[in-house]
Amino acid sequence: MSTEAEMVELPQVHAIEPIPAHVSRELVRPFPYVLGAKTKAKPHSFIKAIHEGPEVFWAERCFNGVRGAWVPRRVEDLQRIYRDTEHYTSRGFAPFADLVGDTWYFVPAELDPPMHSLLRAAINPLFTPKRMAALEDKIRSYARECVATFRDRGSCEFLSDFAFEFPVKVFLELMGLPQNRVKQFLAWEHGLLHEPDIEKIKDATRSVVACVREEIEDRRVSPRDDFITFGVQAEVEGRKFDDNELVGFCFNLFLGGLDTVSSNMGMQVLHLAERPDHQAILRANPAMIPDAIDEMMRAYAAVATSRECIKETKIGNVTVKPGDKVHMATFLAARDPAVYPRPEEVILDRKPRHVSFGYGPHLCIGMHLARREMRIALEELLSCLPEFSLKPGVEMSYYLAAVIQPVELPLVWKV
Amino acid sequence: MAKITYVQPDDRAQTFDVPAGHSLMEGAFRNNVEGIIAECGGACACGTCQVFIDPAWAECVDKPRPLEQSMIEEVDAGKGNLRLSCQISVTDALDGLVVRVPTKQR
Repeated sequence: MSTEAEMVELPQVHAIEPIPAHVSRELVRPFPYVLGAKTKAKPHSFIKAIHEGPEVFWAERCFNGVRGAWVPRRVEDLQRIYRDTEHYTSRGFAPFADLVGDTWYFVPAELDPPMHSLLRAAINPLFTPKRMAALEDKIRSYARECVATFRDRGSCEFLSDFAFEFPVKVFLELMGLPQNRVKQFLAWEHGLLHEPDIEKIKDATRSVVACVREEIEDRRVSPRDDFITFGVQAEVEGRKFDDNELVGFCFNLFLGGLDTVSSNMGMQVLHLAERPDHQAILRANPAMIPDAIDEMMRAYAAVATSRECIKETKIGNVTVKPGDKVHMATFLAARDPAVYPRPEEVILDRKPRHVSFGYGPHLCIGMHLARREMRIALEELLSCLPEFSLKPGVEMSYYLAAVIQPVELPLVWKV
Repeated sequence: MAKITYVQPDDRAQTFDVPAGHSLMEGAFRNNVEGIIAECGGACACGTCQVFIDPAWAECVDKPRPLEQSMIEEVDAGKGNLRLSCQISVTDALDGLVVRVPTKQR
């Protein structure tokens, strides 16, 4: 049996921030889900041991790859912290603007009351179930386009052939950007989220911001029916969005809607590739797909965000001080044994209440779109392909952060 | 305390005592009323705790604030009685309120 340290490959960094004096050394625990870390073990296999430890612990390097943070693991604590805007701010949850010396912030993800609800109210009309339902046929046609490129080949690398490309196509459609920019956006996405080299993250950030600014200027001159135009025309408290809000709105759409969806789809398809029995059930009963997706979103939750303490408070018995980061790892809560019996097991009709889309006022604004994309993806894959499985002999490896994701997912089926 | 009646799409009605200060959503959730999902836990963020307020009670319930309004206007299409149950706080004055649960929340 190998130790966790042997199973996780961590990037070298120049300077890990020291552990603050108020953090009890007994509560400093190993935590493999840090930026740039990879593993060949099952990526969620480290979670069971974490649930045998303290209710909240301190993990080094889990914010931004260098800074430590408190890590709660129980559903109850995550739900409470998500809702607690008195002691925690959402500002500073992603490092991108800071890294390049910019002042914009994610809209609405990094906003606090009272601005958060004002801007979220302005943006909500974009994401209503009805508006998302109107996209059904378009989304399905993109999924079919992707599947058609590999169906007759009998094999694919699911991440690059489908899981990345499909949500980018939908994103470009929503933003009013041409489909020939898919590769460009994929490259930026990888640069933002899967590069251990900070300079590459900065480059990708600058590129996305430059693109977004250009598109914003374009929509001011020639408005169209797309999300960027919506942002340019939207009002809050009787004024238009300012420059920081507009850039942050577009950047938030970009980051929120792509890698997270790809990761979840990757883990879902991996599960089905390893469980032909579950594949057969869903093929025979496509109506079970939505519940199955929610259960797989729980079992294979991929995302962690963060909060920063602004007023001293406690998580359990631990004192959290202003300036402390709190790492909100949905994949830990997703396997909380106090809430989910046999948490490691995927039970297709479990119908769990999970926090994989977050909880409270910042609950994923795009969840209706994300659920739709994932459902259509599985419907199309299961109806267009015969039973698929992992390519024999392949050795899987996974990113453990910023989102949990297979590096590659080679699939085969009979043609 | 107020007696609140939750009516399912198939007309099954259940009545519960809901303490003043709780929301209609909490009243439903604590009593396992079917069809109220409340994925965000009552933060006006998911739109999955919708209820139709019985027209006879429309005037007794506070009007929606802008955040709630932004989530329901399209679904409600001008009928004016669709609300997010997490945004309605129960008071003694709502004793006897009847709400209908929609056929689906998303």
